[in-house]
Amino acid sequence: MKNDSTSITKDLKNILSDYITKDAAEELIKAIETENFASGNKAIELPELGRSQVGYDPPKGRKYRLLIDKIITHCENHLSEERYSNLLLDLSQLMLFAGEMAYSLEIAQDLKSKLEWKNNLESILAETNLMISKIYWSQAYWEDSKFYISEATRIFGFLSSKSGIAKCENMLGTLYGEKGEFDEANIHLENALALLNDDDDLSSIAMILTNLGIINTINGNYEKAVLNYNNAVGKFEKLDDARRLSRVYHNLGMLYSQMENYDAALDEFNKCITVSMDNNYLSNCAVSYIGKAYVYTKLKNSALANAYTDKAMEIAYKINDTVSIADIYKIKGMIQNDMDNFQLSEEFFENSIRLNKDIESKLNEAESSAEFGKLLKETDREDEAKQYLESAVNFFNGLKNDNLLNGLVERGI
Amino acid sequence: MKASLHNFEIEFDRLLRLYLGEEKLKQLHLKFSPSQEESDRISEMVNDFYKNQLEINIDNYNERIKIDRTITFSEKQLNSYKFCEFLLDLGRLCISCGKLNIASEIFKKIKKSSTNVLHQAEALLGQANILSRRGDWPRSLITLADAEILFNKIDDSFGMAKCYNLLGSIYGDQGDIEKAKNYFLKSLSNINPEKNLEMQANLSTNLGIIANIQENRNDAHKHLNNALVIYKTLDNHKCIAEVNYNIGLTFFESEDYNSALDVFDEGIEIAKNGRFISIVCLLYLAKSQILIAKGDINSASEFLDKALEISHYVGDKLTFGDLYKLKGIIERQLKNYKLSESYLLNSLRINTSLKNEMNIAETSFELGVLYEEINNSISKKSYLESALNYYKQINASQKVKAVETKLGIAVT
Repeated sequence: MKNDSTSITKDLKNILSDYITKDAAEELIKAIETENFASGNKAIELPELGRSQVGYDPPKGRKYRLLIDKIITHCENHLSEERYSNLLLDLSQLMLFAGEMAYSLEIAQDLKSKLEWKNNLESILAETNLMISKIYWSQAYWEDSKFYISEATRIFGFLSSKSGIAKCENMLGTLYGEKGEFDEANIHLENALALLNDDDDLSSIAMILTNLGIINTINGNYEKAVLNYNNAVGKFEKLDDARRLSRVYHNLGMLYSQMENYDAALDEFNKCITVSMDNNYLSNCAVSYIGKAYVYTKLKNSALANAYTDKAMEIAYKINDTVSIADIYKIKGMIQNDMDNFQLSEEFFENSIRLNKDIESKLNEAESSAEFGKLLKETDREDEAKQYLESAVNFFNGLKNDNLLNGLVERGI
Repeated sequence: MKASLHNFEIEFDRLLRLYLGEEKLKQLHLKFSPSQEESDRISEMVNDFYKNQLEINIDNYNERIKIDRTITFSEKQLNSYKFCEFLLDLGRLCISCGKLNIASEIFKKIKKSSTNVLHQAEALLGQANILSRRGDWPRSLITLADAEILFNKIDDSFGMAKCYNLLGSIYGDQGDIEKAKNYFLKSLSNINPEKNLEMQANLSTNLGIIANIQENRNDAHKHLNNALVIYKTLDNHKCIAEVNYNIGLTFFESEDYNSALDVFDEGIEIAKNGRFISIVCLLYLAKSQILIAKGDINSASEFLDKALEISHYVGDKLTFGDLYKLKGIIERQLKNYKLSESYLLNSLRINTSLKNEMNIAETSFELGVLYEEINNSISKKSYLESALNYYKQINASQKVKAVETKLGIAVT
């Protein structure tokens, strides 16, 4: 059978030839072709847990679709409008966690267009807008996400729903957090918390606490972060919400990574991956694979780090998680640096910085710039290093945590 | 390790119990059928030629790495104008290879980084194209209107022609054939056929499709063959495969199944070699339709399942309505009437949500046939009449005749 990537390579070469010299185009493509990205996972020794994690083969999305389409059609005539709408919302959420972004969006958008003509289901319409914002958020489509948050806020405001507005504020906090605008994120998360009391929506409170935990980690307030996370864990356990619980485990892993307690970090990542693999929560798997890869780079185990970044890339690509893809490039850059492949390392860092710029993810951009600056310094390119290091330092100066120079970003809920 | 759907099923089951309750749940038979579990591998029941046609790996993250690295490299190497031109070409390539997410990222990047009005307009046109492929008509139309404003601003009649062409395609996909035709003709009047050869061929293809829907087979062949000649001159393999698909459909509608199959096979080879997976998907679907008509249900199912896999991967909601319709027809032929009804109703729901009038009519016709077979005369009449109304509206006389015969209306 013909090599699947042959054609795209040929097309890329053809296009590039119109813009750079033919020789330069060929040289670039040749370099890309000959470098081995999936660097021999099979050859490395993995413990049993690692083998099952790296060998994880997520289910094919079309199987979900066949099943769920059938349900949706069947239930349209068997449920009241309100229950049917809530079912669609739950199914959209389920598909989001399963990493089926396009399908999740399709279900939510169909529901939205149905509800826009109804007068009595405004609250579900607002939730649907929020759902759509979440789907866009998970793919780093910030503007689209913001648009739907404002739609949801408008409807919840009209309904005077404090808990609804709190959910929107939490979503805004998450969005700004992902972009690295932590002061803004903090304001929205505190706003959200102030709108709720303990008797209110337990799930919303737990989500907000998790997100505050992330901000506290980034700001170096580790004790506060642990308190936030433990508080959230208790609530998610009470709610039996495995999806979000595993996301907190991941964030605890990130916290321990930041504190350079790598054994504890690996334990938390493994907990997240185990629950997420069992339930096929792909986005959780991707971020925790990245977390593990990061820890292995710190432990100077390039082979394991590579195996986990490859697996993370496979999933991040499937679920169109651009934030994670940019992170993966950074870790691949660190790995190649450790292996003294400076040219390839440089390219990965540049990819990471470029992608983070494109998606306006400031913290990640600063982290990648810092790593790239270090590489340039090591290879005696002080002048070039300066601009990257300065841009990173400028960003980190705005935060209060020195440890972040080596850090990774957590993922909100 | 191969992940099972076990936990998904538990969670899913919980959801269903919550919403449906035990009684209603009993009416549903949701166990994963062995055929679905097994369909990852290509069945032993199809011949080697078909197996070879079906072997295509659609999911390859290494391609994403290549594309990312190429963009980063080019950004450093090219001036900003040339870089945006490059991105436009790359975005279009990604669309034709079914990489809609990356294409969308690329067009967004152009919009953000270029102040050139033409680049902005082209990026919007690209975004509108992606949205239309996902069946998101409202946002596609809004984005297209924004592109039109910019093309107008710089007095770019070729750009306007591209907008009209896409508008025609969108209305065509919604089944509004007259409106679609008018936009294609408007687009044609905006181009210089000698200078814009490829666009001329694109419009010939679209006018051929319209002629085929309106059952003017000679016109359809004329338009499509014109397009084919131009694409061959331009060595545009993607479009050659696409025209093959459309020519095959005209043969199919004329019930010349062998000619249709030959043309589809030719198209599959070209599209597979070029990895134009959206077109591969359409050709699999079309081939499945022929195989059903020829009574080769096993092979038809294989092609259909592969088309389903690609459609889901690409996020091509439009094709799903057709896929479910064919699944419904297969099950009806196998006399699995409940399953057939379920698939056809799925098709109807999806086409209704897409407001795709033509596909609604086609599925309604198939439902009518199903209800005739199971002696449900009330439903039969209702669905066939709904199909009849649409076919009359677009002057599809053969189809009108077929429905009227089913309805027992005297045909003169």
